[in-house]
Amino acid sequence: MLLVQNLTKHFQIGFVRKKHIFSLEEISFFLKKGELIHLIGANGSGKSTTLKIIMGLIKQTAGDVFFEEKPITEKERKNIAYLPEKIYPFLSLTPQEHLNFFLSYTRNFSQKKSFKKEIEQSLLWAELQKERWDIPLRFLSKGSRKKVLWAEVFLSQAKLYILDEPFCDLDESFRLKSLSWIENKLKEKESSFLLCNHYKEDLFLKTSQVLYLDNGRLS
Amino acid sequence: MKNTCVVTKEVFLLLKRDGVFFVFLLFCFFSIFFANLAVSASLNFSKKLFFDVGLFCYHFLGLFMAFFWGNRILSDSFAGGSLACRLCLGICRRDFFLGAFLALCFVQVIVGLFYIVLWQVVMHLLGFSWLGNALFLFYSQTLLWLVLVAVAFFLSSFLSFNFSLIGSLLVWFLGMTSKASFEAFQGEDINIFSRSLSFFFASFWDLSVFNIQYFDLLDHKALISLGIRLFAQAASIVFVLLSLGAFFFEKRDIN
Repeated sequence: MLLVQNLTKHFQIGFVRKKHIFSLEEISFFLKKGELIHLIGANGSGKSTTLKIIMGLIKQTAGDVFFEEKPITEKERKNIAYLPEKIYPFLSLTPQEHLNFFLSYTRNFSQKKSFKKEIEQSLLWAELQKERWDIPLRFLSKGSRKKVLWAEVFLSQAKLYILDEPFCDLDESFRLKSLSWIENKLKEKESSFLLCNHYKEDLFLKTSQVLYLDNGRLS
Repeated sequence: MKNTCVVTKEVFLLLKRDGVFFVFLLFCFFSIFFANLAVSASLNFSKKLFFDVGLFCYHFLGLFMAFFWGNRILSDSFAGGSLACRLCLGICRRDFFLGAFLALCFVQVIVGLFYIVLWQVVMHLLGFSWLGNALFLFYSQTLLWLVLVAVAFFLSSFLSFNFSLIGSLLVWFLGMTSKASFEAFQGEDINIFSRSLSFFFASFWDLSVFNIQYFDLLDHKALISLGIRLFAQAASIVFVLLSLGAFFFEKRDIN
């Protein structure tokens, strides 16, 4: 489903005295349909950079990314759900508005009638208190904002889920709930997961591969 | 196209939440107050003075909104990560760029229309006549607003907020003064480089064309043809700036 080949990224700093910082060096892996890859590494090891390159936020210096045997473009990314680590949607929007725009981007206008019901279901699933549904995200805690992003993941009908530090800022009960949701999705064998975090304790998920990143290299 | 429309709707809502219309109301209040002050301080109760103050405020209202919000939209979405959040949904960067631009243009046009109506009402209450042909000046100024929004978007596609804001102001100032400086150089003993440079800016970046000073000498037909010419000029500048901006925006890393 997802093939990453010799992915390399180096950042250039400074205009006059150019300094190159290597973030990734020739990373390669293959994720099959219905499987989960766990990407683990210390801070600054290049986990988030790998995910951002796959999502097209950062341009790679070298290497290729293929999704369903095609070079990855905006069209293919519509089938990928991404849960970012520390980035949040527009903070002036309420959770309901945010999810409504999310559905407007990803679904057809003809399905608009069902948006409200779907949004309610997803917010209930994400255990976000009802009185916070119409409060701008800037007034919500980090954990509540993360839950809104989880509600977005729940709503998406993706083939591949890329989750960057998905359990940080979450309470224990929702953490377990989201883990069991991933397990159920994996049992259905329809979608794949690329999950990256610091904690080895989440490895009780049935993982097909564990990739250790160390200073931008797979070890 | 669908994504561009949704981005426009979303950014419009964000601008509304950001208090763009509240700033407009404050600006209207102060411009009417100053226009009244200027007129009552003048020797004769002059319509021209009242109108000039109104138009001056209109120019700066558009300038302020174009530069402040035009530069803020992109830099805020870069900084907060909201842009990353949206682009991950498979939205083309060009769509986001164009959608955000259209949202601000939409706000500008609404604000422009409200300002003109309000100004006309105030003038009417003070016993002045209808704006008539003078409406053309508001039209040309609104075109200038849209050009300035394009300038802000172009610069913020590759610069941070502070640099693009200062850059936008410099580019505006250059555009407003380029023709005058070129005319001042005519016939003077000045080096060829300065003359060529000022010729370049006077021909390609002359924003003073949107300040029409002879509108009351033109008949209805001449005004329409001038209006079409100005619209074409503004559209071509906007097209070039947006194309370049979209190109730079496409290349930028979003961390």
